[in-house]
Amino acid sequence: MRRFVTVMLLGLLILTIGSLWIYSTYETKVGSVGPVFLQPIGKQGNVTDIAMVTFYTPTSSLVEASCNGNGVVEVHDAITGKLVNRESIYGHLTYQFVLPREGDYLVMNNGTGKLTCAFRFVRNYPTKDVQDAIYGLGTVFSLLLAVVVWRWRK
Amino acid sequence: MGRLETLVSWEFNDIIKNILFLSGLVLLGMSMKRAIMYVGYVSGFASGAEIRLFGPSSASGTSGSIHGMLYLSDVWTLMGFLVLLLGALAFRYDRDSGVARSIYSLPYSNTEIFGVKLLSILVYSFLMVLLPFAYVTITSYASIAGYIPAITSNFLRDALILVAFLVLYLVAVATVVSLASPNAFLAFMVGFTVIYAPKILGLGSIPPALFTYALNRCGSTDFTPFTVQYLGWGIVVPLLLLGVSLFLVERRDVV
Repeated sequence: MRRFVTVMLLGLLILTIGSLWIYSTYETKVGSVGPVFLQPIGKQGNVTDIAMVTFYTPTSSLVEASCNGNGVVEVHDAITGKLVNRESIYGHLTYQFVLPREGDYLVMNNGTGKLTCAFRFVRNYPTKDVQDAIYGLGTVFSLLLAVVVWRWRK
Repeated sequence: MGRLETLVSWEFNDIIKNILFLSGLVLLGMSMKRAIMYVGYVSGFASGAEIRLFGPSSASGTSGSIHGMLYLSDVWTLMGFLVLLLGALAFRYDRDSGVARSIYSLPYSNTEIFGVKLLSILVYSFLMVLLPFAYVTITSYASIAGYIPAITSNFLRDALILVAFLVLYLVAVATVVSLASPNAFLAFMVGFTVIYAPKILGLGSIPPALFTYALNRCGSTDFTPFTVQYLGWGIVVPLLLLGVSLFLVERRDVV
């Protein structure tokens, strides 16, 4: 069984290093979303109509937004609903904001006019939690591997 | 060490199978990791008096990319390939190289040897796909780790059942083909044909395409893996093939 355990730990350790390599190559890979058309939130009586766009990003990202029209662009965390960024736009605006962690974000127009926005994900970094998980598990795998190999020698 | 334990530790100490397992683990893990590294978006529309916009069920991109890791075509192409090689190594290569003559003459029944070998390739195959899946999911979404059970709740159980069916089918084909054929190369090639012909011919009602399509669909409201088709190809056919294998092991000389 010893070779099996060794190989399993070695494989997971290689995956750990491979993950770090993938993050380093993904760092400057520019992803883009849109252009998307954002209609304002509509209210008729007690019925609300919301048009929205859901982003997915695998890392924490620096996003460069370029918007045309009139309105207020709001970016919310899809799970908790926490407001990440709000920007009022009259005419044209290019601005940057940071998505704090990997996952999904809802983008909506909380203004009165219509908007067209394009988003470029210019920098992508794994969050501290992700780095902790990768380095922590990597440490555990390498220590276990060291123990197995050390006991093997005896 | 007990009698069977010795046999088990032999099986798991085979160098070639372990190298195969290592390469499978790393390749599958890397292809899964690369598959989730993309930026995507969907446009949506919500309307009503009371709208629930936020919550784990709104994280469609995260859920989609975790789900997507399980039906990547790279993953199942590699799995088919590696499981067939594992089967050929466990059941056929030892006979080609002559080791089997000494093993099968030891005081173990053929059924015991067959059972241990089958156990080893089942363990290797399941770990090869599930270990990278778990590792990539846990490390890539560490910041939202607490929400992962809720995000994956709608598809994960069905998807894992389908993965089990598909792996069982692949293992059963690899086993029966290796035991029936006269050498390891032929075993691999015939197995490869049996597994890939339906996919290349576009037959969606036969594995592996049956299960990869189903893996894609699971999570939708009317889907269940407990239909005659899935249970038949995922449980009944593998059991029949393993029954034939057991018959071959008992009746056929070790040559």
